[in-house]
Amino acid sequence: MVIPETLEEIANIVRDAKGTVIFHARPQPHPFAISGPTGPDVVAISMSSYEGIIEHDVADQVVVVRAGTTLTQLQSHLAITGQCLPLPRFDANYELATATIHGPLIDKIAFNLPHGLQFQCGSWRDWIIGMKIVRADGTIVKCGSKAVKNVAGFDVQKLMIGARNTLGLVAEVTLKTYPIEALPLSEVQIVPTMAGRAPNFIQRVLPTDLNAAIRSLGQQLIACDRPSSTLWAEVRPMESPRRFNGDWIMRAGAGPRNLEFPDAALVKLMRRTKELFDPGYKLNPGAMGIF
Amino acid sequence: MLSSHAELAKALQSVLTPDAVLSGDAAERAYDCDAYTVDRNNPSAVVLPRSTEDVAKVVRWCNKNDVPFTARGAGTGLSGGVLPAMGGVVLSTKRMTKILEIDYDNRCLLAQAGIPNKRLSDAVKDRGLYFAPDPSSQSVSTIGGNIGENAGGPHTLKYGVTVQHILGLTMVDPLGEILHLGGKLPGAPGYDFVGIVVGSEGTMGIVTEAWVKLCPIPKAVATALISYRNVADACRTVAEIIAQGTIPAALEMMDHGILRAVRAAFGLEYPEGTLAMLLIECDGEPDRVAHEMESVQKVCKKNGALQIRLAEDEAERAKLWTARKKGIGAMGRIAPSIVTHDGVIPRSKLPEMLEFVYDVSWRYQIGVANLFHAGDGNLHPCFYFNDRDPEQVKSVVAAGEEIIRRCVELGGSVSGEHGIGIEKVDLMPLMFTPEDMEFQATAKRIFNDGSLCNPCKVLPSQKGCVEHRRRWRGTAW
Amino acid sequence: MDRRSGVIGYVDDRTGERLNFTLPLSTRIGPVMVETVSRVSAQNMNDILELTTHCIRCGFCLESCPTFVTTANEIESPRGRIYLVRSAVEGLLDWQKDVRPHIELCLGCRACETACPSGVEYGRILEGAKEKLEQDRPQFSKLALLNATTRPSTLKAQLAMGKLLPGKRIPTPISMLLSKQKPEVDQPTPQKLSPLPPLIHSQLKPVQGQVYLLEGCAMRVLFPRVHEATRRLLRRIGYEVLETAQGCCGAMHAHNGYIDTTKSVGRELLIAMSREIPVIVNSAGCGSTMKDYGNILEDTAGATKFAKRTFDASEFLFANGLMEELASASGLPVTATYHDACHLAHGQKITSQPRELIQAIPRLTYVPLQEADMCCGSAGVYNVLQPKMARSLVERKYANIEETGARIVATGNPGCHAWIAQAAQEHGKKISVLHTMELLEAAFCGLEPFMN
Repeated sequence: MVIPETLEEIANIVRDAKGTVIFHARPQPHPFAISGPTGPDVVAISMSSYEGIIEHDVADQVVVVRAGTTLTQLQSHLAITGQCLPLPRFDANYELATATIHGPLIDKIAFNLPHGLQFQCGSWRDWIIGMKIVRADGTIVKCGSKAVKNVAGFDVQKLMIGARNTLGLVAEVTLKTYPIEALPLSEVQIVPTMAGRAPNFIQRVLPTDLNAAIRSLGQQLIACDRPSSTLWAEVRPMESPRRFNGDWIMRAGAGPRNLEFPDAALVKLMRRTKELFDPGYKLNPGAMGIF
Repeated sequence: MLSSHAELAKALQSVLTPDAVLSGDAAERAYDCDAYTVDRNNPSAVVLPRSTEDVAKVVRWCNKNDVPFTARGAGTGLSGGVLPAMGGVVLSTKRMTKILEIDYDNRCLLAQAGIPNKRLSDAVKDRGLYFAPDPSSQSVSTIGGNIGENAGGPHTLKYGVTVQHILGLTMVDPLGEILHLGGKLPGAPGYDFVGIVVGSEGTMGIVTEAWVKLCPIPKAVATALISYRNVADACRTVAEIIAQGTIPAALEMMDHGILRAVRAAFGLEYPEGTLAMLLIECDGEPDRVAHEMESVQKVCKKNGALQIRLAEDEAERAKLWTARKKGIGAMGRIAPSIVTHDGVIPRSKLPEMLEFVYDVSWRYQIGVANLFHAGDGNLHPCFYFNDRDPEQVKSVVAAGEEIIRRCVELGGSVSGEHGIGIEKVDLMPLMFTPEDMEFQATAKRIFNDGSLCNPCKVLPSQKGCVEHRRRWRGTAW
Repeated sequence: MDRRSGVIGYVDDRTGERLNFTLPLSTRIGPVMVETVSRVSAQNMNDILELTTHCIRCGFCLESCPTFVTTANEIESPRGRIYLVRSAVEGLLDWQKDVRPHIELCLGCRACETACPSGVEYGRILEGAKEKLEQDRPQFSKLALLNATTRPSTLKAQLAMGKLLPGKRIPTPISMLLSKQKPEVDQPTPQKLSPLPPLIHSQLKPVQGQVYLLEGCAMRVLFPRVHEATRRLLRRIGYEVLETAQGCCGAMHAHNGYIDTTKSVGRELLIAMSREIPVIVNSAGCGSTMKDYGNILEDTAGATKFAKRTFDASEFLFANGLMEELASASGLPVTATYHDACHLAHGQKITSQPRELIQAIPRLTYVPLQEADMCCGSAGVYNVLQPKMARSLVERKYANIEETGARIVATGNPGCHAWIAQAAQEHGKKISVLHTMELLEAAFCGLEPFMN
């Protein structure tokens, strides 16, 4: 495990790695991660030391932050000036029930899990206006800017969100912040009898299917966010809960079945994308399930 | 390559139907540019497909015959995004204007790419829903074009730009394959292809259908027009409103230059001595709107507002918005030529930037009017001049260059909503290093290795593209 | 700085100090420029060019244009046509080959002028272009058609002859000659005059003034009932029509590229209606041209004044007390809608007055019409010259009217009246078309006399 402290160090490690590179953002792997290969030629990087706020422009409500920074750290920094990222307020029950443990930003962005205010306030792709990325060959590139509205060039940062660092390592992000005063209350409901349980299954369905999905999950349901029709549940590893037209799921602890891509054309496009950005399949192998 | 335009048109007629192909001198002329008129180039033919399959057929034919192709909606773009830069075929989506499905319960709608933005809202307003992105051109500009440019508009401050309202896409990729990206539900695992295609200016393929998100029409709306003695007071108001945590639905500024035009064109009245105005709108639940408007008014008064006028009814509200949305157009009444820029800056830099704009205008002796999205820091300085005087044209070019450079220096961007297109393609290096641009080029290759699909746009120095012909920045309106 | 003149004020925000700097006259902001431009008459190429340069190609006109919405072809849009005309003036396109077909497909409805933020005077560009096209290559068949329709005696004779021909439509050979397409338009049939109950003068307002009423050319032959209704409504608000020998206003000629004819008949009309009293017009196309006499007859004394005293009948009645009179009318228990004649809505910007008047009819249920201000395809003699496009537009119009569920549709122009009535008849006579004047008069004396 290497723990680089500067962007250049990270870039050099990635560039010089002979085998594959795995990014570890936290002491233990993300609950929804798919474990990758191990062995002597695997370079594991921890981002825990590449942390801290680079710049916070209070008046513009824009913050530039290193990806190893934890969400707790960032939120408490922003709170001093009455700002935040529009995620539900700190609450241990909620965090456990929705798998949104306040880890480092790099994890949050890599997994892009649903949260309890996504319907009301959007999600990472709406808040991130710029990024610095370390490419598979060690080149450092940036996209976006510090302007809250910008259409110059292609929005490659959007492709990085939820990509589990398989296309490049997200090293720094520029985020829009939100006034705490305007923060709505989360409407996530936690099933009282399931308090203290962690989900291994996330399902988002169309609002018209929500009640049916709740019934179908039955006693396995942990939490539900009605506005975004998102459900968190604990299902037995071998069990396949009912699917609905147009829904999507994410699983934990089911190995490569953690992610399902039923559309062959989409898989082809994802492979092509991977090959363009990381021709040697060097970055986080296995993390997307299909490669 | 087919030898003549006539032959090419004939071949395309057999790919589609004869009435779906336009050719000849008049057609070539009418489709040689969009609302950015500085650069022009004739297409060899124009096709009017009726379906995704039609588009795919034409694209495959173009690939087989090595003919460049460019998609076009209403041609209201302000950066030359649909200019057929290398000639070839223009694919107009204007015969694809149907709404294919409305899912009221799940608040989304599937439409063909050529439908005007406004018609989406019109179709669902009886059920209390609307499509939130509202570029000023919304009565004509198509959803396909809005997706291509990731269009903005006055209400993006609260509701976000087009990409936040697009759920899924049907697209014909540059080789003619039909792709379905995204779906009715956002956030699905996998790479966010919808996110990269929206705003790619038609260079990654041709979007033919889209699932869009519908929002409930806000229960209450309050619109205020506030006059100020000077621009600095208005700027300070903007900064304070944002800083105190209020997010108005829209926060627009007009300076003295534009006010005169708007008064002449739409009879908008304001007190003597007004040199800047803000148009502020709050919407949502009635209580919250009243509360927000009250705190907005407090900030306005504190910063020396001359007059605060609240729209009494829907008709007055519509009038205020007409003045705003057609304001730049009204400049066309009073000057033979105008050029509008689209720089963005971090909004706290507004006072500094405006001062710079006036200084530039003074130094180059070119009149300037400002009407812009103050809440997002998206400036639209509009120079008015006479394009038949070469000296003035030269000054306008130089002045525009200075302004754009300054935007980037202040941490902003060369474009907030009009796009790069052909117009700002050689300004990209101001913001991005060659490595940054290579990274973007990689993203483009996900869909395309070749250079037939809307060539020469967004990224500079592409294979075979001619030098951007005239260095006249901005848009001629 | 010597070549610059004209001062623009600018206040320095730092110091609050007022600075002045100068710009060339041509770019001067303010009314000066507007005035110089609007005085230019589209009589020669330079003028047309000047008018076209005001188009900044924003495209806001596209969705307002019936031919663009129907064809999806930008050459058949206002922006496209302006660009073609400009290119032809600049010598880049051929007038007859490249421009003519597209100018001819234009309805001249001027909906684009309403949509245009830059104030481009499309109607004048169109008339200028048509004049140029006709001067270079006159179409004698079209001219004959214009003359036939605009000379009451000829029209009457033709109507009589028409009865001898088989079929309802205008004869195919004539249509082929004019449009190279099969005819869509029925031969015109004049309205039957049913007796109306006499006005009881003792119950009416005293006469307070006189007005002229334009009887027009085709209108007087085909729609005598509309004139009758207008006369009665005018009398109800206290105005008497001063009868005078008068002819055609020249609107059709102007819309088809024969400005010189418009000028000569216009001058005659000025003489026939020389007294300084209001001129009331119940044909939108005529009113629109007459209100533009100031431009068209710029060299004729009194033309501007004449234009200023010209009023559409609905405009005049609304402003002079018909709303009050309607309040005490017996009213009509019907559902009605209103179609905007292009030359009223776009040519004269009159949209609210006729609606307000109709809604003021007691017991009447008013329903709004979708795309009310989109052209029905009649457009003067357009439906004779461009039958296919006219047909597709009238079908669209009829479908919209049917959607409202109204039994009566009112409109303010004879062309729309006849054309929509034909469509209504073909679709089974479920809907009646009335001139706004007829509907308003029916509020006082019942629908019966206006329903055949």
